[in-house]
Parts: sequence; C-alpha cells; structure tokens
Amino acid sequence: MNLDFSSEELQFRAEVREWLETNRPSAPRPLDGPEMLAFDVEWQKCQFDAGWAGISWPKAYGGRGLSTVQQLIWHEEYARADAPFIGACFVGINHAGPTLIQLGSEQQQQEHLPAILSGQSIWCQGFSEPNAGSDLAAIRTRGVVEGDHLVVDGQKIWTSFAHFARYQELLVRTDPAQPRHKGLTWIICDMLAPGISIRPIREMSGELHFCEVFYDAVRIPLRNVVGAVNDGWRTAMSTLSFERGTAFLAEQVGLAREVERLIALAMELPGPGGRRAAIDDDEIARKLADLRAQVAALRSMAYAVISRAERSGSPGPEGSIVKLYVSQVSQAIQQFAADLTPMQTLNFSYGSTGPVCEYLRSYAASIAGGSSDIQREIIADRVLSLPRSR
Amino acid sequence: MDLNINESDIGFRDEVRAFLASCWPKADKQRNRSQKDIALFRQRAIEAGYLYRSIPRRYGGSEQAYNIIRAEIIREEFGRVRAPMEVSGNGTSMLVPTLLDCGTEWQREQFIRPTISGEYVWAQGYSEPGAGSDLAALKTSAVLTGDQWVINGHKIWTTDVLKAQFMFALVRTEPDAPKHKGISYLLIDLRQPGVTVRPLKQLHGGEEFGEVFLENVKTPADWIVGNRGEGWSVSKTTLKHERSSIGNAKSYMAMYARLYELAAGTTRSGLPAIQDPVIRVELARIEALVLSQQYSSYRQFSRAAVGKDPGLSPLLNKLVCTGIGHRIAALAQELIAESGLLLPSAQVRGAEKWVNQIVGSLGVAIAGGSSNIQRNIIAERGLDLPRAQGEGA
Amino acid sequence: MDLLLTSEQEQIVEAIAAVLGDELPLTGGHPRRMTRSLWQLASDLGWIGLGLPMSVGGMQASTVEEALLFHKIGYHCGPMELLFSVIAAHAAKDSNPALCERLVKGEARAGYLIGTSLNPPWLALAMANAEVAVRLDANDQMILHGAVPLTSHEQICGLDPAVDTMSIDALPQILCVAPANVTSRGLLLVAAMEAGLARLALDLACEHAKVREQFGKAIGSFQAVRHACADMAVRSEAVDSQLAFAAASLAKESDSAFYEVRALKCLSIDAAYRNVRSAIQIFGAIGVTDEHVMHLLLKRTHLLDALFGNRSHQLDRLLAYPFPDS
Repeated sequence: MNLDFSSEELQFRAEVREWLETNRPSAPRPLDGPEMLAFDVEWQKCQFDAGWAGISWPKAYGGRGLSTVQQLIWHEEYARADAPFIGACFVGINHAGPTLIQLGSEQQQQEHLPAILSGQSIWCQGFSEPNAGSDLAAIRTRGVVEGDHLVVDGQKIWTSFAHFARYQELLVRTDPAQPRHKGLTWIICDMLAPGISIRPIREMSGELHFCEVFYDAVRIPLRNVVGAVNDGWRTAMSTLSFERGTAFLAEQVGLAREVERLIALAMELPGPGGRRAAIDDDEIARKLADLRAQVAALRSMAYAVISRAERSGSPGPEGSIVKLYVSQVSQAIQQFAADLTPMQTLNFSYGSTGPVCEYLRSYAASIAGGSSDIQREIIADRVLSLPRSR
Repeated sequence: MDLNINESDIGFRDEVRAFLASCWPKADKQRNRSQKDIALFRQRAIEAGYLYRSIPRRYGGSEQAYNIIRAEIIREEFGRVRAPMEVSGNGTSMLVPTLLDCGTEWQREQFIRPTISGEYVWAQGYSEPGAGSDLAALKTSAVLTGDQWVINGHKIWTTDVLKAQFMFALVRTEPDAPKHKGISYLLIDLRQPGVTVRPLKQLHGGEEFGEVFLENVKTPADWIVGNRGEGWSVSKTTLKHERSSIGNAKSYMAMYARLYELAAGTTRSGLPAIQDPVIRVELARIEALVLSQQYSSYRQFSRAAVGKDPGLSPLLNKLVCTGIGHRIAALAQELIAESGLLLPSAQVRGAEKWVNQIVGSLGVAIAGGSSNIQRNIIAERGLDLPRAQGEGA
Repeated sequence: MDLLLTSEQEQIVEAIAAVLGDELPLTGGHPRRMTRSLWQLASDLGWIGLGLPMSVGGMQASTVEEALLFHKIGYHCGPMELLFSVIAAHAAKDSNPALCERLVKGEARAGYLIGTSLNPPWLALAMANAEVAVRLDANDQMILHGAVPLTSHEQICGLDPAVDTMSIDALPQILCVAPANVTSRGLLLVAAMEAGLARLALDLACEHAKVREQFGKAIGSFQAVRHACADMAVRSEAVDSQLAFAAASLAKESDSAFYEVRALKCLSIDAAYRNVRSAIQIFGAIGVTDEHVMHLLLKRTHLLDALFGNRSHQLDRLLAYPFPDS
C-alpha cells in the first residue's frame, strides 16, 4: 500500500498540467444547440491532435496505451484545470469506444475508433425504452433479420444527444421466443438511415439533450452487429460495467473542487441572520466539513478501484458502490449549494447556466446509468451475495 | 375544525377537577401512598365514571357513554395532578378489549374484574423464534384432548412474563389449515408444571422480556377466545391497539421537556449548551416534530370523535414516534458527552439516565412490529400500493 | 500508487485474524475482556510494538500495518487495552524509552483518561492494572500521565462491559506531552477500530439476512433489508478506502496526513453508528438483548466516539485545515 507516483507518472502529470493550462478553452461551454456541438467537437479534436485523446486506449486505435493510473492523473488534472464537460462526445469515448475495443470486429474498430477519438463521429445510446428502464431486459424494440439486414421497429427514450449523433449503440430484441436476457442484439445504427425520427425532451435544468427515437422499418446491415446476434445482453453489460467502474474518475476531483469553492463562498456570504459570514454558522461549517470528508472518501474509493483494476484488469463489482456514493455526494453538494445561495437559486430561466443549472441537473445523478435502488440491488447480489429478490 | 371544547364539556372538566381535589388532594402529592390508597382511589374514580369507561359495570367498569372528548379531559386532568390512571399492562390494554369484543360471557365475568384491578397480570405470548415479523408462521401447538388443550412450544419476546400469572397466546390448533387460518387465541395459567420461563436481558440491562417454554401445558377447553382457527383476527384488534398506543405523542412531549432542561443545564466550553446554535436548531426541529405529532393525534382524535375513518395518520404513528425517539436520543448523547459511557445505576447521578433512552430507543423500533413492517403496513393499507410478494403486513 | 494490500500485508492480516478468531470468537453477548493469554500473544507477536523502532523492541512496521491490526481488533470487538498501550508507547518513545520498551513487552500497561475539560470528574478507562494513562487535552495534544492513586477513584459501571471504568476527581501526575504526530496516529487507530466495527456490523447483518427466514424466505431477499445492507456496504467501502489512504499518508509523513486522518475519523464514527444501528434493526429483537454480540458493538461505538472528541469536534477541526491540493 503506497501513495507514491512513479517518476514517469510525475513527469506525465507535469506535461498534462502544462498542456491543459495553455490549451483548455477559455470560453464557457454553450448549454445546448449547434453551438454546444461545435464547441464539444472542436475541443475533442484539439485534444486528439495534441495526442491527449484516449489515454488508456490501445495505441493501435489511436490511443496512448497508458495505464489506468495515468488515466486517473489525466482526469485529476483535467478537473484541476477546470476543463469543460466532455458533453456530446461522452457516449463515444466512454461507452461505444470501450465496447468496440473489447468486442468489435477488426473492421468495426478501424471504421469507428479513430473517428470517435478525433470527435469526428458523435454517438448516442439506444438502450432504455418507455417500458424498459430499471428493467432493461424488458426491451421490446424489434429487430427482424431479413437477408443481410436487421429491420428495426420500435422506440427508445432518454437517448442523450440523439439529435446530434451520427451513430447509435442500439439494443433490440431479435428473438422474442427466448428468455428475457437472451434474444437481444447490440448493433451499430446509422442515425441518418431512413425511418428514424427524433423528438427532443427538455430537462428541468433547461437543457435539451434527451430524446425519444422512433424506428419505422429501419434497415441496418448485419455486419454492424457487435458480439453475436442474440448475444447483445453480454455486449451491453460490458459497456455498463465499464461505465459503472470508471466513469466516476472524472467526477471525484471536480466534486472536491466544488466543495472548496463552496467553502470560499461561505466565507464571503453573510450567514443566516446576516450578521456574520455563513461559515461562522456552526451548522453550515459542519455540513461543509462533512462534505470535505465525503469527497476525501470518494477520492480514496476511486484510488482503491483503480488499484484493483491495475492488478486484475477490472474495476470489480465495487464499481457499483462508487457509483452510488458519487451520486449521493454530488447531490448533497448541489443541494447544499442551492441552500447556501437561496436568492441565486430562485433566479433561473431556461438557458441560464451556473449553479442553479448544476443543482437541477444533479437530480439525474441518482437515475442515469442505473438508478440508486438498482445499484443497491447489484451491491446486494454481487458484493454481498444476499439471496436474490427477483 | 374546532379546537374549542363545548360548554357541557367545560362543565365536565370542572367536575373532574372537583373530584380530584377531594379524592387526590395536592398536598398528598409528595407523600408516598400505599397500594391500598391507590386501589381505593381507583374504586372511587370508577364509581364517579372516570376510569374503565367502556367496560360495563357488571365486569367492574364504569360503563359510560362513548365520549372521546371526555376521555381526553380525564386523561389531561388526572395527568396534571399525577393521579393514578387505569392499571397499565397487557391485560387492560390488550386482553380486556379483546374479551369485550370476542370473549364469552363467562370469560368476561371471570377475567375482566381481577385484570383491571391489577390482581391478574398477563403476558403476551405471540412471537416465536421463527415467527417475528412473520407472526403467522408460529408453530406452538395446542391439541384438544378431552376437555382441555395440551400446549407445546416456545414463545419469545414475551412481555411482562416474569411477573405474570397468565398469558394470552396465539397457538396453532388446525395444523392442516392455511397459515393464517390455523391459529387460535388461548388463555393459559402459567403457574403449572411444564411452564419454564427464562428472562431475556436487554442491551440496557432491562428484563421486560422473557422466553417461555411450554411442555404439555394444559388449559381448559373453554379458555379459547373466539372460535378455533379465528385467533389471527381476534388478535388483530389488540395489535392495532398496541401500535397506536406507542404512537401517543404525550410521552415524547415530556421527554422533549426533559431534553430542553438538559440542554439548559449543560455547560459546554463555558457556555450553556442551549446557546450553541447547532443545539438550538436541533432542539427546535425536535420540538416541531413533537408538536406536529401532537397535532396529528388531535386530528386523529377529532376524526374518531365524529366517527370518521381515521385514514392514513394512525398507521404513521409508530414510525414517526420512533424517529422522534432516535433524534431525542442523538441530541441527548451529544449533550451528556462522556457521561453517556456510564450505565445508570442505583445511585443515578443525572446525565446517565439518558443512556437508557439512547440505547433503548433502538428497541422501540423493533417492538410491536419492526419499522420495516410498519413501512409495509403504510404502503399497503395507507397508500394502496401493490402488496409486496410474500411480505404480509 | 497502490491502495491495496501487498501480499506481505495480507499475510499479516491473516495471521492477526487467525489469532483473534481463536481468542475472541464472535459468538454470544459476553464481553471480550483482555485476557492473560491475549497479553502474552500480543507481546509475543509484537503487536504493541508493531509501529515502533527496534531500539525499543518494536517491529519497525508503518502506520499502515498498525491500522490493519486495529481494524481487525475492532472487527472482533477486541480489548481496548491494546490501543491504550500502543498510544502510550508512542507517547513515551522519545522521552522515556525504558517505559516504552516495557509497554511493548506488555510488562507495563496503559489506560486512558477521558475528558478535555479542566474540571473533574474525569473518566478513567482500564486503569485497574495500568501504571500509565494517556489523555487528549483540549489542544489535541496527547498527554502521558502516571498511575491513578488507588484512593482517588470510584469504581462505576461502564457502558462498555469489556472496559473497566472509574471516575476520578484529580488527574494523576503528568509524565510528558507527546509529539503532535501521536495524536494523529491515535486518531487513525481509533478510526481503524471504528471501521472494523462497521465492517463487522455489515458482515453479521448479511450473514443473518441469509439464514433468517420469515414469510417463507430469507429476509435478505426483501428489498428493504437488501438495500439497508447495500447502504452499509457503501459506508464500509468509503471508510475502508479512506483508512487505507490516511494510513498511507501518515506512513509517508505527508503534509496532508492530518487532514486525511481527520476526514477519516468523521466518516468512521458515522459509519460505525449507522451500520450498527442498521444491523440491530435487521437482527430484530435478538439485536436488543445482551445475549447476542450486537449490543457489544453498539456500546463499543459509544466508547470509541468519546476517546478523541465527538463528530462535531472532528468536523470543526477538519474545516480548519487548508485543503491539500496536489
């Protein structure tokens, strides 16, 4: 057990820090719309051109082929530099890319991975449906094999950035006769294919990311299947476990910085009653200290998971524990922030950014990527081996 | 809504006060009264119509018309001068209402009078090692042999069993019936061979619970309350009674008052703890919770007084009150600091007596149906949510 | 960077667990008092001197190994006397190496005085056979005291039945003021015990949930119980990770070690209380008897909470430190 970084890692950190300091965008990230898309794509391309995209992706696919620890260092420095949210490139970089690296064919990898890394192709995720949310295996969107194509009919929902995406990782039911988890297929869907229509759904934070996607006899070549036909559940789970295991890496440093920002803010703002600074109120002070302790633990949990991934190649089921904790901590922070500046919280209109938007957005943290209760179920099953409830 | 009391009830309050002034004079408050004095007072109070109002005179009660407002006035006025109320315990709170509802004439005559006078003490024999939250899984059996029941089994978490002469128990008499339908409600004399009682010490040292082993224990055939196989529904009335009595906010009001005194009397870093903003805020929150529960009980009470469906609120009582108990305990712990590491002893020095509340508040969350069972009851009966598979409430 | 145990550390943990499993099996509600054989084992195996230099008979291991030891002791609701002796030995290391060496060998024993205030009474723990006592003063300094004179105390009943508790009206003579890092080491080890205890509550609750059946199935298949267990697991994972980070920070004498240890203590006491309370609820009535081990966990948590200042105190101190930015 040690906290020491190797000289190579320290050198890497210094390089990352220097590059981000000079190159991170200085303009704020637009909330949504084509401006946001252009911003996200340009920033991704900038990282790619300088050789900073895909730190832990294999070199063969345009990545750097570095360790998880170096990826952690990248995320730490990224948050430290206040670099912008990855945005529209999220699904490609964090889901589709890793899935293709693990299970894609040589041709699929060659075709898509470099385009994902360079920001050239935007991806979205077509998993959830109106009647398949927490119970993802209840998917009903149909895929029927006709010759060398899959013909898809049905509907997906909560698909972030579908209206900007060129490709979609799509999960459909290809064999209704088989039990729930069997009979699904994971396929790369070209979002420009005829028969696809998209309706965006506005979130309470004012953003326009979510979409409903409708499929009317959409024809997708069978060579786009990743894994095998009727073996899509396994492919999907490899993506989800990747997300649950490592997606928090980017968040923990940002949350720690957010707490420090709130502490600084509490020193300036008047507290309840208006006579002293907010931080002189014991209740506020202890709440802030409590948040400090929680983000410290979050950092330590992230380190532990990375250590495990370095040794065994997988973050392990503890990833679900971290996912649950991250969403709890981030909601606690955003709710505290909203309480600390009640007047600013009330000052909101669609299109505004900043703390209110972050606060409203934080409600999604315990829902997206598997709700907190689903995480508890996973923990009960896989970490604690309790008897199954379903 | 009307929080005022009408004139006839105000007159009633004066009557009660006059009665107490003559039969329970204030000057006597400090003097230790004998058991005999107390029994005599109760007798007079019954004659005056103040105690055991729902129990007919022929069984020793005062047989008064149902008037929930007057009952509340009596509680308030007796409480004010700390006059003895009805005898407490499982017998009066659980068995007597059950006998009045489901018992035979003979059973009422035989058992009610000595129970309300405190002569008969009753244990409640419900839970078993394999039947806690899932009470209907109980296995203790009773077989009718000639003119008596022969009982074998094991009861646990039996309240008051150490001082009781009798037990009302749920036992399985119809082994082939579905689990809720095979249970009967029997009365058992514990003073006989085959009954073995073992005390169960609780984590704060109290011994209110015991376990009872029953080996070929006998009880007369007509000591069954209700019909064979109806014990489950017979017991429902009493369980409901117990759950709502735990929900009474009055005791938490008194506990809050003591907590307030503790905060006012504790010094921290040279200042009274009550001046510490964090302590003040938490005290205020607890007071708000206690008051809101008090108002909820008024609402329940008003609805009951006019015969309206009490709705969701009574189902919440236990969960809300155990939550309040936990918060009171947590703040008390913060206030008494290291004194919390002392066990209350004969020469209790002050702060340590809170340890019972701090440690004991955990037990309240389990007795009378655990908090998770309470949540199931609220979800199913109160909110009409679909019943969880296999989780009976 | 590696936050997992090395294979050598894993062996140490297994060895400790084997000894404690033999000496202090987790059955029944009787208190796990310090025994003569455990004193003997603890000194033979070098537990007390684990983190002390060889010059005083120590093993020269780091705070990491010490934290692992006390995590296991906490997990077995083990005796407090070992903790007090380790803190006292560290406190005496520089100023009184002879005393330190005797503590390491188990020849001298230490107790603990609770009470930061200037006014009596103070609580004295495990002082019956102790010749020194440690105490944390109001400035967060560890003070090493001499023995409690036999005339000045009143034996009283302690909440934790495994620890002798007495009330004293005069503090015994001060032997020395320990270096500042003894406070953070003590905090770390108390937190390690709390973390172990939180983990024990989780494991016991899960074990019970797997075998206890109601409504025809194991209660661990009901989501209300499963989710309570999952929340306990989250708290334990957070605390154990932070324990590893804080112990490693202290071992490398990092500038942020105080910060990390203080953050740990805020989390560990919270996890201990919440996991124990949750576990008692899962055990139901069995959990509130003094015949089952759960009551020892609850009472021990209260005791540990009192040793280095309660959670509010820890939070106040944590906020006072500057944020350690890498």
